[in-house]
Amino acid sequence: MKKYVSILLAAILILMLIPTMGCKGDGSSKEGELTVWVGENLEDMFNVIAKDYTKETGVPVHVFTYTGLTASDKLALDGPFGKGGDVYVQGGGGDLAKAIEQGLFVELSKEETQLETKYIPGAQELMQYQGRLYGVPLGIETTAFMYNKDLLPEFPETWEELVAFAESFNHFDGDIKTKDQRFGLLIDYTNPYYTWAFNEAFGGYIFGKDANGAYDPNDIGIDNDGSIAACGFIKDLLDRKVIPSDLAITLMQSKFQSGRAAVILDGSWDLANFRNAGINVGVAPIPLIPQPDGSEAHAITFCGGYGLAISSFSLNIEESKKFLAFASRDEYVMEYYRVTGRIPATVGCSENEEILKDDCLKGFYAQCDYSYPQPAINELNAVWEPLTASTTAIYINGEDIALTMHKVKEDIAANIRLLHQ
Amino acid sequence: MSDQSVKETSQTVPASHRRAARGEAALSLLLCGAGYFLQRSYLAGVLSVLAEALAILLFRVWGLDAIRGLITLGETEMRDHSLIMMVYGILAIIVFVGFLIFWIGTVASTYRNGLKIRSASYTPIRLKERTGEWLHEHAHVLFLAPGVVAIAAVILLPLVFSICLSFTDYDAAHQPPAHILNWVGLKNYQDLLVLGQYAKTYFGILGWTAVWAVCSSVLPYALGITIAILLNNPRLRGRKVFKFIYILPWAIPGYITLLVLQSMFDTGYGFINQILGLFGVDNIRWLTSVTPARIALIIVSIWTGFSYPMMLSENIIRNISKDVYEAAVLDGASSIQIFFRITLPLLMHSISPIFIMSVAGAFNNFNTIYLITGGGPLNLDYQSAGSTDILITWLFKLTITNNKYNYGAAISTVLFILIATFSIINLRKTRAFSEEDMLA
Repeated sequence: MKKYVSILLAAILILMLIPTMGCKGDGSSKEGELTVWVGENLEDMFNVIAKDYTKETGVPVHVFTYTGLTASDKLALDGPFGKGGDVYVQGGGGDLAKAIEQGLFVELSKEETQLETKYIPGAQELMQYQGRLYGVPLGIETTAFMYNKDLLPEFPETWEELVAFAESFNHFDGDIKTKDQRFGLLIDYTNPYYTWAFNEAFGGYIFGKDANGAYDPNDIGIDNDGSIAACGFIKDLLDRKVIPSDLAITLMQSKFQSGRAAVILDGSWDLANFRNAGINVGVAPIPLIPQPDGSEAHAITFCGGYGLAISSFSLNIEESKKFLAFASRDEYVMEYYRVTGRIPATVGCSENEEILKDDCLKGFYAQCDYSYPQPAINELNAVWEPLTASTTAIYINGEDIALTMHKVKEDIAANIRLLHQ
Repeated sequence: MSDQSVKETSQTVPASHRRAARGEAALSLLLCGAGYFLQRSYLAGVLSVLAEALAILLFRVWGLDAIRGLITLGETEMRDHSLIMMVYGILAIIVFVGFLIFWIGTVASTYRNGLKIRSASYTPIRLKERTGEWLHEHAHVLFLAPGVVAIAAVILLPLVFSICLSFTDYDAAHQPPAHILNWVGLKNYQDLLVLGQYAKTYFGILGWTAVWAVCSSVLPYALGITIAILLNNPRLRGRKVFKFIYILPWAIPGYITLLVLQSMFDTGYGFINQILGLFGVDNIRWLTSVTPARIALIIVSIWTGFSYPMMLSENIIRNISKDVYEAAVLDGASSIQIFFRITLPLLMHSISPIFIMSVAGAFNNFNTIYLITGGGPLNLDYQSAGSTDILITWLFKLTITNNKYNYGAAISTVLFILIATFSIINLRKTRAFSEEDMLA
């Protein structure tokens, strides 16, 4: 008797699976309907977009979620087997470069997507590779100065004022107990990702661009006079003890979270963390950097972010382009910001009231005007390690700046030659 | 009956029988199972013919294309995905080599069967009993078969795939499906080992890897054995407490240990520098200079690695009979002589396979190096490698950061050959795998 009951139960349970199995399909691109792949946290938002799109155009849209892999990794595995979808939420910059080298996404026209009019300047280059556009940006993130409003009510307007404040606020030199230390300005000088903004202000650049807007890996500006001057600028800050020399970035963040630091150079991704720690956070763009010849220049930070892209294995490319235009409407980009915290990439959103009320975002937007995505070419991989090693050599070991930067540039050039072997 | 080897039966069998059996085997070479028909084993014959028909059908429908794809690696971009063609090609080769092995097995067993049915003591058995007997004899094969298939799929296929990758030009600039891969022969090995910048890096890293492998297996074993001997001292009190404490480094998950140790070695705020500061020693830049980083790594490997040898040795030493020691003391041996002439050889007799495997494992010890120093202070003379990088972490960086998949595959193939050779030679040299008992 027990045997028959258990067999019956098992059969019922298996039969219950059948209706759910055929329900949503397998996520592959099918003619006449759109398949959108997004990360888990975006599922609800894109379900709304899907419903609205179907209401407006009548084309059914199915939303699938992936976990673990990035969108381009998933498409690299699915696409060749015919299981790829139509639209993906894809990261820009280096992520995109790797995907385009594999041929995963379709090139879009800058005019059709209204790139220059609809999106803020900082986000326009996000989904581009070698000057060609492969997606529309949704949200970006960048680095700027985040300050504790309780310790510094109004952010200084000029760089000299900021340094003066830091020097007066600093209390960490010498034999001071950890809990009594105070920091006026925190910059992670060991990580070129943060400090390259200053090199750019002085005229340094990683790779120059050629006529088509593509990066030229042979034009390396890491060791030009501007870049060397910038390293001297930062070394000066270290020597004058304006910034501390022995803190890792994680320690810096914890100092800021515990209220012992007034200003930190960090990315918008940490904004939520600082707010949750109870700090009254304000954000200001990096002030203009005074140049040796008396003028002032903007520090240009790196930005990253995510956007929508169309798979090259898709069977509905034209329809997907319409979906991209639809999903990048201001109200949906605002929703993307609410879910992920990334700065909305459309001009319309930057003028939205809710955004303007939050002056942290205003600060980030101001910085986004002077930011650009890292040169998303393979040769960039050859740059970071020698550049990071140079920070140890210059700032910690005190070696000659010009010599070190020239050596770094030669190493990078040699690495690039090897990459092309 | 089937326990007898073929040679034995053929010596008692007249030449005419052997010729007949060989004829049937030769027929089986042409058509799998033909020999079985002549021997009146109709069921076995039918099954073999079916198997061959299936294999030929599979080959015509899929195998030929797959192997051709492996050789050409595709012709048109975006339509032919070189990596997928490589995988299917290798799979086809494995499947058809498997079938060839089956065919040869059939021929051999046809010959054996032919001798068996012609021998004087043979009585024909009914099919059902024969099948039962066959299943009984081959039960072990049937039980092992799923495991072998799993190994072929999960281990053999990726291994062969990775070795094949090392002969292509798959890197950041040549990624399928937008590019078709090409076979470049030994060019990657040339670049890595002979010519160019990578060769300098390779040999530099190989030197440190060898030092690391030896230090991070010998030193923990030395410490473990020493502690085991101390623990076995009859005058020790609270042995269980000590054993508990010494097991802890092994019990705590390695990942967590390594991350905590990394922060302990930190220059400014690290625990170790603070303790050294109490003794008046200057801040040592543990992880940012070359030699201190290497010393730190060896210290970490000793700390995480000594528990296991200690446990092993403790058990073995405890079981060494006391008579030997008493005899040695009576003969006037000093403690050092006792250790080196009695304890250590007995110990190594049991532990040496494990010790050799731990040297091979230390060669590939990715976690310790990567989590503590990440490859160490970057060496600007090396190509994308640091001063504490070992081959496996360098390979990881080449693959993940620089996307030089072909170089990564080449290095891992060389690593595989090195470690396999070393392990096989040493495992054969030690007498541990022979059945002898050292004291007998």
